[in-house]
This record gives sequence, C-alpha cells and structure tokens, in this order.
Amino acid sequence: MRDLLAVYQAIQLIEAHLRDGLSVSEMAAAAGYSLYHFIRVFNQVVWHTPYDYLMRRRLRAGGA
Amino acid sequence: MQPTILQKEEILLLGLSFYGDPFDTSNVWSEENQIGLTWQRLMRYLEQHSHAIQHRAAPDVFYEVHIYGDETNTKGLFEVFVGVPVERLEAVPVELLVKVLPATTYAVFTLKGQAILSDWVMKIDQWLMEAGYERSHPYSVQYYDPRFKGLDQIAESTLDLYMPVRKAQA
Repeated sequence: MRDLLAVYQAIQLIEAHLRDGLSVSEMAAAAGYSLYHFIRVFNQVVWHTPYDYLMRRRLRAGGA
Repeated sequence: MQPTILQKEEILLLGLSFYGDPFDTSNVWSEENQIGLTWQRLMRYLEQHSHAIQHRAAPDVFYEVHIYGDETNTKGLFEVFVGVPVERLEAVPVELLVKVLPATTYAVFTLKGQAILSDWVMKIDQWLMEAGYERSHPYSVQYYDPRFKGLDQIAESTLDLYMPVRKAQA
C-alpha cells in the first residue's frame, strides 16, 4: 500500500509537469523514497521506468 | 543504522557493467533484473575462465558498485559494476572492465535480513545529514562475502554497504 501511494504521488507530479522540467530524482523525492528504491517500486507498479513513463505521457499530451 | 567510519586504501576491481535503469526488464528483487543478469554474466565468465584473473585478492569476496552520473538524477540511469578485487592489474582479460576505487573514507553500514531489501539508500542519506557528513564520490559499494547467502536466503544474509564520505562543508 505504501508503494502504491508513493507511485500515485509520483504520477500526480508527472501530470502536473508534463510541459516543464521534471527529473526522476524529483519524482523519487515526491514519493518519499531514494532514487534507487523508487525506480524499482515504480517499475513494479507501472511496468515502465519512470523516465520512460514521463516521456510517453509527454508525447501523448503533446499530441492530444 | 549506525555505521563504522573507516579509511580504505585504493581498491582494484575486475568485472562487468550494466548502464541504464536496472529494473527495466524485471522490477522485483530477483536475479532476473539487470543487476542479477550482470551477476550471472560475471559468474559464468569466472566459471568458464577460472584462471583468467590473476592476483585475485580474496576468492570469496565480490563487489557491486553503483556509479552515478549526469543521467542519474534526471533519468534514473546509472552504472552497476559487479566484480572481484585484485591485488594488482596485470594481464587483465579483454572481456573484463577495470574499476579503481580511490583511497578514501567510508561510512560502512551492515544490513541483516529483510533490511537488505529496504530503502537503505534513504536511511544512509538521512544518517549522513544528521551526523554532519556528505557523500564524497559519486558511487556506493555493496560488499558481498560468505555472510551473504543469496536472495532466496535473505533472512540469514548480511551485507556491508560502503558509502564514500567526508565531513559536510559548512
């Protein structure tokens, strides 16, 4: 549950920053994890790396 | 988590590397993520070339070094090097890479059991801040010896984490 909430917080941050700079370390900080732990948990929940997910969301948002 | 602060001489390592997000193919603590696959490549090489590494410093010691760079904070990408210590660099096999860890001060944290799978990087960084230290080099080291029994026996395992540190600048 803790991991799901952490990923949810990171995704909220991504959605709020689709058109400006956002780093994976900032996502990890929003989730309350170290970068190393965050990228593992994010992959586990989302099945994409955080950076890959960010790029996919930006492409989709840009084409909408 | 209370570390031991100690000074280490230069450490010479021979091994193999992965660069990227190590969980891009498998996201669990298993031997199938990129770190596990790199370990498998190293172990296979060592089995098939048992005499290739000369001057091995300790037959039952292995290092996993995470090396951070420009793309670590921005993209979550970094290098994972796994290797063995050697006493000197001589006749290095072309298949292997060399890492030279500088002589420096380390904060050494010993993790046991499930703590090995926890977010220990966060705990280490918290300890560093509270104790007035900071990271001195862009890498961290996991030191594996016979006390580590494997991911399938994590409850009986012990792992030492070496974080290069210095006193925080005012």
